[in-house]
Amino acid sequence: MSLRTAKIISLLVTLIGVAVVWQGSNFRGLGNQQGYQPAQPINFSHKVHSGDNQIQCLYCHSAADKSKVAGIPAASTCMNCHRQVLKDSPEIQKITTALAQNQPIKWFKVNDLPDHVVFDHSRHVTAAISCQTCHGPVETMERVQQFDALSMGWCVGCHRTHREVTLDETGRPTVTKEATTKRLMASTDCSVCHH
Amino acid sequence: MSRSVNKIWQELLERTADGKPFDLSEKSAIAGISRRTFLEVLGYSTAALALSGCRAPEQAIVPYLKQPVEFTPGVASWFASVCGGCSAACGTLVKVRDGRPIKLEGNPDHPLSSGGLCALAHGMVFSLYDPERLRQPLIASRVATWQEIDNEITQKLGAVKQSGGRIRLLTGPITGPTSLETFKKFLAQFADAKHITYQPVSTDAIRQAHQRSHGVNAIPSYRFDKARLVVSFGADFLGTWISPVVFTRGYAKARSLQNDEREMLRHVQFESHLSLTGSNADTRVKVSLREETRALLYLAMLVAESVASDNASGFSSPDLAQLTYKTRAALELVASELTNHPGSALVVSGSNDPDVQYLVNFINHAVGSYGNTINLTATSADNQSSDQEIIELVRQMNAGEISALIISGVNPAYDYFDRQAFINGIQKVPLKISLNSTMDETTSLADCVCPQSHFLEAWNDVEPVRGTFSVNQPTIAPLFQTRAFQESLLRWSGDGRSFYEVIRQSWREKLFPQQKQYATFDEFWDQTLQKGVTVSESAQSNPAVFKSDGLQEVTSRLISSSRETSDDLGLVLYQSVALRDGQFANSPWLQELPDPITKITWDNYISVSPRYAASSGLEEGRIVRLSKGPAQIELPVHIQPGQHDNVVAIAIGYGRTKAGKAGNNVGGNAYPFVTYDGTFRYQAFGINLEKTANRVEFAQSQSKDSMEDRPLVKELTLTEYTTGEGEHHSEHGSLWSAHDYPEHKWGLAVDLNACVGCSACVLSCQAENNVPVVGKDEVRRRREMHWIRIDRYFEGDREEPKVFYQPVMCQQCDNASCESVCPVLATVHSSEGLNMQVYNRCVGTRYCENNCPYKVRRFNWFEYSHSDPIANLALNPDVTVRSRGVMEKCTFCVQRIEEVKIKARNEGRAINDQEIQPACQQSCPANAIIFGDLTDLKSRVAQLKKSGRNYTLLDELNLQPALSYLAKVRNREEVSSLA
Amino acid sequence: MAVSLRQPESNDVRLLEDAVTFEVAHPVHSKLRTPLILGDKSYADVTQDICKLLEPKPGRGWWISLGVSLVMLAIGVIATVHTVNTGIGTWGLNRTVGWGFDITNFVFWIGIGHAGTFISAILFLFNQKWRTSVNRSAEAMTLIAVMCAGLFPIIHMGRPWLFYWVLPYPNTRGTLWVNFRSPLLWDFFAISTYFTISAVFWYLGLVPDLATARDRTKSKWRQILYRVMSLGWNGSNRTWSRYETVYTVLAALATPLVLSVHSIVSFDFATSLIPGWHSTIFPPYFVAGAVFSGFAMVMTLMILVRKLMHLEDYITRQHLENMCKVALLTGSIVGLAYVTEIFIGLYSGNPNEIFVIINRGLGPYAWAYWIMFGCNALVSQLFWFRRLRTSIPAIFAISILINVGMWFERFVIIVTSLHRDFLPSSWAMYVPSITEVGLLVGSFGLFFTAFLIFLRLFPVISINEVKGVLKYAKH
Repeated sequence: MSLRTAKIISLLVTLIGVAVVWQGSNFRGLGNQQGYQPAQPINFSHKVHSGDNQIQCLYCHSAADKSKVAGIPAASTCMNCHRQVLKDSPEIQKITTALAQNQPIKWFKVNDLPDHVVFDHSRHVTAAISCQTCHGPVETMERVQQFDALSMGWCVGCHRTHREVTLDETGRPTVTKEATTKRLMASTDCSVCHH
Repeated sequence: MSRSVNKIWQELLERTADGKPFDLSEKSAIAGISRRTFLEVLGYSTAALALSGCRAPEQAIVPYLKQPVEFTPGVASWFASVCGGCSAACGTLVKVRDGRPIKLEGNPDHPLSSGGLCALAHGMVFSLYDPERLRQPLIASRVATWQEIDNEITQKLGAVKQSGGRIRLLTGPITGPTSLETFKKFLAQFADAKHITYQPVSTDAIRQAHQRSHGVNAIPSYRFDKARLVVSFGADFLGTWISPVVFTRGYAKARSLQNDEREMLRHVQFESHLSLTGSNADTRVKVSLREETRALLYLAMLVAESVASDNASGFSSPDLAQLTYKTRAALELVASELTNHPGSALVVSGSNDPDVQYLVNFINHAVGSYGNTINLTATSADNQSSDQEIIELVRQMNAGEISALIISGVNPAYDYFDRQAFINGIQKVPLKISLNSTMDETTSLADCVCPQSHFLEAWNDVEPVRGTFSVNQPTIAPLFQTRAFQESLLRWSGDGRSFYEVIRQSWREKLFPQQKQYATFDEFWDQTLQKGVTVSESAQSNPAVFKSDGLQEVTSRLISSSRETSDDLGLVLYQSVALRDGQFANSPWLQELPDPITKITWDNYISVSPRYAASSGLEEGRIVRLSKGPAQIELPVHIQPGQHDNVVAIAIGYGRTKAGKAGNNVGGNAYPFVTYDGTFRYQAFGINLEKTANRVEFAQSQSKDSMEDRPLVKELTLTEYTTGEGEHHSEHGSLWSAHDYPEHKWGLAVDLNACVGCSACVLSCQAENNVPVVGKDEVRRRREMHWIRIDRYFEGDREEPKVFYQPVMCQQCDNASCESVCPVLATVHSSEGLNMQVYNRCVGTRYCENNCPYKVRRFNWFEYSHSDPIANLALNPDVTVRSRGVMEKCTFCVQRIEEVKIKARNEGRAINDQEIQPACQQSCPANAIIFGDLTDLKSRVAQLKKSGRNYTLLDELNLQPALSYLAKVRNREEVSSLA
Repeated sequence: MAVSLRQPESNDVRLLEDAVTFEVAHPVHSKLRTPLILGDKSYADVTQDICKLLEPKPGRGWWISLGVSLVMLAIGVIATVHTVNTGIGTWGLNRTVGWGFDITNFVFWIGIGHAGTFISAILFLFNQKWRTSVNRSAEAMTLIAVMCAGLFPIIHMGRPWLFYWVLPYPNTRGTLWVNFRSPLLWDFFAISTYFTISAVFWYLGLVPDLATARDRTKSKWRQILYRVMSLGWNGSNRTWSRYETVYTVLAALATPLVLSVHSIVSFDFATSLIPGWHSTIFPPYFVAGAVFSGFAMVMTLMILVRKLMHLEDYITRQHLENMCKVALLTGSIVGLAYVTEIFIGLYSGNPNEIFVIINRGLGPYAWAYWIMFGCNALVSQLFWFRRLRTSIPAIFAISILINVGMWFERFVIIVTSLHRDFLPSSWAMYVPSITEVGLLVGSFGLFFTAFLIFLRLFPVISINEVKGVLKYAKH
């Protein structure tokens, strides 16, 4: 093996190494589904509903401020309006038939966290974090897609910046316990999401 | 997977320049396209493959069609109900998550059990999701619809009606007033019909004795909470006797030192084999079976003499020479104590001999227990029939005099003492209907099987104690084609109503008028449903008087029967704390629960005393054959410290043959050794015992009995406690600054003085935290997974050991030795003082396990089966199901902590003390476990940790655990502190 | 860049010269020193003797031993696959004893490795000329042993496919780092460093000999192999001087590793709080033990090699005797450590410590303890006798015993400390499963397979260095 080949090889190795270390954090983790945008059984447009018609997210996703899960609206919820509105459109017909035949509608999950992660919508919603913060500009999406990486780094990044607890020199919080409960105190303890 | 790949293909190709779908199968197409498009498509395809490679298969979400108003998805709802595990019917709160019950907790508002539950109750969730429950009616073991079987049965019953044949309804003890009405209504149709109740473990003697002594044929309610002195003759009231949860609550209350009480209940136990209750006694006197009776006689005599009582004359003394000196001394002490505790003493006996119970009643009467520690008005409310009736039934069956037999909730083909007679008899019955919920030994003999729903699926009402009514409400629609047995009877008595309507009607007619609180019935009903219980002010009658006639004959009978004879090796049959009478033997949870005393799982055994074993050359695990007449059993020997040399003990409830996968052929069936003499007797003499060549190794969770002189469980005498000696304080210096706990610091205190070792917490934890069951072999390999275990130690003389219990779970140390060694930060300290275990980060080096001095970490040696779709319904969705190769441990139920924290935060308030309760604390019948926030100095746990009894385990290691123990206090003088 | 064979290499020339002058001055051999290499070899003989081992087709003996080793290796592979597929449950471990054969084997193999580095680095710096005959194969042994060792920390994991989480690499978890407080992590760094340095050191020493082999070999693929590996070595003066410098530097770099690696391995135990592990004596005790076991293994191998490959002239009794002396020294240190451990344990007044000492000597695993004590502390003392030091069969037997003893040392430390610790309630016994035995066998399989291949592929004795000491005793 000549010195030249040796030089070239070592150079390549170095470059790759540098690339990995420097770009590493941007490499997409396995299972990252950012941008996932499956076709749904019913051609439902968030743009029309929450964008053009300004319907509140919580109107349909009514559990979001009470529960871990936001909840997918029941078919009956749709019919609250669509009993009158556009009741003849083929898409709406799908819902009416579903109700008629007592056949629930199977939607495809877009924002899907791993099973070992616990995410509580109610805490975030009541802490006045807008849905768009995580779900992106849903009101502009014809078909919903996963807006952000939803990776651990992405969660923790926000939790770090929102940990508003200041300690006095004795290590006790400067605000009373009663007060702290009213403040954003995003925890970075593992067990908050993993248990 | 492939489906999703194709989808992506579709999506991507629609985006190509010309926009029309692009078919790869056509070669020409590829040839035809421009280089640019080709590359474009190539790019897409690779991207597609890359994407699909790292995409999980598509997840479907299926919302409701019509949203039910009472449910919020992802939020648990709680229903007040009662436990159907045994006739004690403790109050429960059933946790229902997304439509399925996943956990039973104690109902704190219940006047009797007041928030406590036993191990059996926690196993009930599993019995609901038992995949081996019957799923539809069977006619002659052929699947049928309810319509068919109802027609079949009504027509057959019609025939019986015509012929005026004998019909018998055989059930377990039924306390539900409405159920009893239903029975009456049903039986009324027939000329010769009768409802017979049968309990494999009978308490008939207590009823008969009270009939004789007070003219009340019932079991009174024993008020341990009011007692200052309890003397028990072989009654295991903390483990299995009548209503253990209620008794444990009262017992713990009367012994509690948690609020700086200065005195506590004193407990003396005379018993032949070491029971859970005996192991907790302040003074335990080891007696042989016959000596137990003699001791009782002697005590009765002493009491009669000391209490100026007209009955004293009735006594001829037992042969004192046959009482050991120790026993006599103990009895004389007890007698004087009894007479010093007028109205605050309580004597109980586990015997099922009416004479013995009558004598007990006499003593209780003499020391004024009735009306104080024994309540004869709030008696058991069932229509329990005497043991004699089932004997009669079996005789009639064999004589072919029974034309129809309906069985519900009992299994005599397994647990009747002369099971062969029953089996032969039932074959002679033309119409045999079983309403049991599994294809058990008895049901498999029936020709019509109408499986009843689980109590979590059905409406019912119960009255465990006269005047205390509860409604058992369904928390899930029946999983299978099953029906409440009352409903079946209603159909067959031509009543079309659902049992729910029947209950409501009878409540409207009977209970509603008795109360003044609520104006309308619906209000009353809803309130009762919500509280889970209502107590009617009726049923007040003045305490009955003691009838002392016949005292003489009773004593003389007992004296003769209790004289020592040559064949004095006695056999005593007892119920194990986990399995009781064996009805729920198919629950792997119960099978794998280590016995509180022996720590053995998945087996029963013949317990013998160490001295007996030595003398007859038996070693642990040696299989021996025990026989008496036709009855015969082969079981391994367990050498049990604290057992009398003339006694061998066997647990009943094992050796089922048709229980199901988990319960079949575990241990041996000891019921054949039961004898009948007016009542069922659970003792036998004249047994012979022969060694076999075989040996087995027990599946034991703890094999080392002694503390090795290490101060692990600390004990004080009452005086040491009151005078404050033996108090223990430790100071540890540290080079490092302590952790910051800005918000909370979770802590836990375990009161060893309250804990009786009943092991309910173990199963509560198992149900809450999806702890897997590993099976007999794995327990043998020491791989049981319980997150909380109860260490049991025998100290001192192996013949008469002192017994200690110590619940041990993760101690959540501040200087945790596990945290520093994990290479991947899978176990780290939280800002609230918890050792967090991050399952998804763990790579399984087991270094933390090695370095944990408490050995509370559990490793997933295999992928433990969660394959059964029905059994999986019992899983708690808030807790990760751990996969193979991952370490797990107690987290102080962090999921509950988070839930309450979030709730409080959302409501913008602080967390209240005792608002968070870990599973182990919630249903502890003895209130031995107290959880809370140590930064809140007013919290109960913070207060308790100030007590002089407070100490941390392995304090010398300076691990600074968040969990500490409160030393045990024994109410006897000779005990000296171990600390 | 073909270099013809007899073109004299630089140090040949140097040595030739002073050798010639020497012959004139002193006609006879030195009375003081026995020569390191017997049989009056010329440089040509040396090259000849050692290179000819590579050239003919391997003999039957070699094939048979390779076959046996491969079978053992296969057993190991099966055991590993079974473990990874089914779970650690296939082993005998339990909730009390979390480590057994796995970590025992790991520490054992790491220990074996130490002799190589010791010989090649430390003895080199101390200018011990006799090392030249054994350092090549000793270093090869080191590399292979470290490979065997390195497998176990991975296999022993519950989820071995995630072993890379032990690496501190940038990730998408909000950069979740590793726990730098964990001795297991230190292990990871120590071992990888150790392996790299040893590999480079060994390879560098090979280069001149590879050049020689390259120039001699007839077979096509060996040509290619040696050509690539000898990095265009041309024996010029410049090359040699560079070579010597780098070699010395690497030796200096490798030396601290001999001490550091096993000290760090010992921290796995020393930094824990388990009685019997938690002990400050561990680092020196482990290092001594490592060198001890390493030398035992070198002796075992060398005795076989010199017999089977007829290298008696190169690996002489004197070499073995020297190694025996090192073994005697380190063995005595280990023995002293055992006694100290007992004394400190009993003297500590800590009931748990006292219990562990008694439990080791008299408890259920006493047999293992006494095997360890006998084979290490006592048997090694036999080397005080010259007759035994110089009798090949005796050395062979003793070296085997020492290997056994040192394996049991690790077993005793790990298992007897864990199985009865603080709370008697969780005391339990550990019985290894067949799978674990398979893993142990497999690791030996891997070791011998690799070593046999090394014997066939590379000059088993460092040609150029042996040439350097050829005239040793003639000064």
